[in-house]
Amino acid sequence: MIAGNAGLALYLWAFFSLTAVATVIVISFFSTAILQRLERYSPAARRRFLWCMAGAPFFVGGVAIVVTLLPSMSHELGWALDHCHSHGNEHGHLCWYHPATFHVFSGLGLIALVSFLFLSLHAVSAVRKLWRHAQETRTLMSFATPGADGVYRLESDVPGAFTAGFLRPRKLITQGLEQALTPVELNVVQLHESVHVTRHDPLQVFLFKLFMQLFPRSVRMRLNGMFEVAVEQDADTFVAGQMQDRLIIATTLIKVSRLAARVSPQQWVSTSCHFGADALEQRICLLLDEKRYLPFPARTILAVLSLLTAVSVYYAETLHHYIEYFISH
Amino acid sequence: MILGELEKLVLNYLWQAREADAKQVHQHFEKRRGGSLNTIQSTLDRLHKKGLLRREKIAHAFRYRPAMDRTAFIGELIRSVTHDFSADTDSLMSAFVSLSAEQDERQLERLEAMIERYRQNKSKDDK
Repeated sequence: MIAGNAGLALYLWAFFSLTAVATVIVISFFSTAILQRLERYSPAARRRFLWCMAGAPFFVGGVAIVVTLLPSMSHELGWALDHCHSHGNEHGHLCWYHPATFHVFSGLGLIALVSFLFLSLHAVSAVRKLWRHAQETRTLMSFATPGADGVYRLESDVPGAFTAGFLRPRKLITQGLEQALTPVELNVVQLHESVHVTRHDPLQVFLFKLFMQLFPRSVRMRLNGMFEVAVEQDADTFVAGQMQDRLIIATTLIKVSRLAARVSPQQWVSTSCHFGADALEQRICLLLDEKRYLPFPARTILAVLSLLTAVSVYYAETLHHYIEYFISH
Repeated sequence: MILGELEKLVLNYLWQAREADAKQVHQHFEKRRGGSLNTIQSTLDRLHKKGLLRREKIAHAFRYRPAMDRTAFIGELIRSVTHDFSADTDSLMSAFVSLSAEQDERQLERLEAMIERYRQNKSKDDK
């Protein structure tokens, strides 16, 4: 048994975990329908929607524990009457004044433990991979030659251009690709990579994938794939706006893909290549498609969130007692 | 693939010298950056274990030579950096085109035909 604020923290943690899992289940259940609807939105809007989905378990979990604590917190802050007297304070409950006793050997104890272990393992694994990636990038950078244009050149026949690095992303291009492209095509590639650098896309992709670790594998794969395509399409759209020519971007994409495909398969084969082939087609289709895509409905989302928060706050007392009932039975 | 500073220097030296034993490598670096023969020997051993150097025992000493040339090694490094973050996700970097994608020639031809149709329609519209 753990009493006091530690007990309360464990209750909150278990409640946070349960709410986060419930959110993951709901999003996963509706993910196919959501993804289909997202096709109508611009790449930038799609990115934001996907971020909302990835962050939802943490956001909803956080809101849930704040709302649960609101009655007792408002009493503590002097905004409301003595909340605890309203139910006689006869059983353990979530409250700042009478922290509940947390039973370690209970269903909630198991939930708290499993969720803690799950998140800790993922956090340690992410830090380890992050460190390894940073070291590998540093090693690669030490063999790259910086150019006056901010692009790092790699002495390799492999045709490739990419942005690497999380905190200080840098554009890299191989000599193999540079020699194969015309100045205009090279400009397309460099502008595209500059967008990734400005937006810190490698870091965004990393964080998005980290958040998505909570989701089941099949859902995670689709959402990760859609996010990566949206990141690339967003950069393509920006370059198209700068160059006023969508065709040159599309033809450069094909040319670079063809050059990359000539590289021996064993050199480039990945553990998941089903997605990349699709990605190229989606990017070209977007470039050739002149229909207007919907922007991110920021005001609508803000209004819905405000409404939900207001309703949650209004029913906070009821929700609080439901949770207490759930814990004590 | 992660390399330490000395490992990179030794590798660069061996790409130029083509072949050397620990003593020769040590002599080269002794003047430039100091360090003991032992350090050089363990660096060469680590590079050998990483598959970057080949070695052959001649008399009582190993002679080392690069397992691949500089451009092939940089190609390996690119592959390593762009390698998947986890078993089910793609790379962590943003590439102009996915370096890990399997682009099949027929798909590329189909996309090219799509671009050509778009170009023709566009020029018709402009006229």
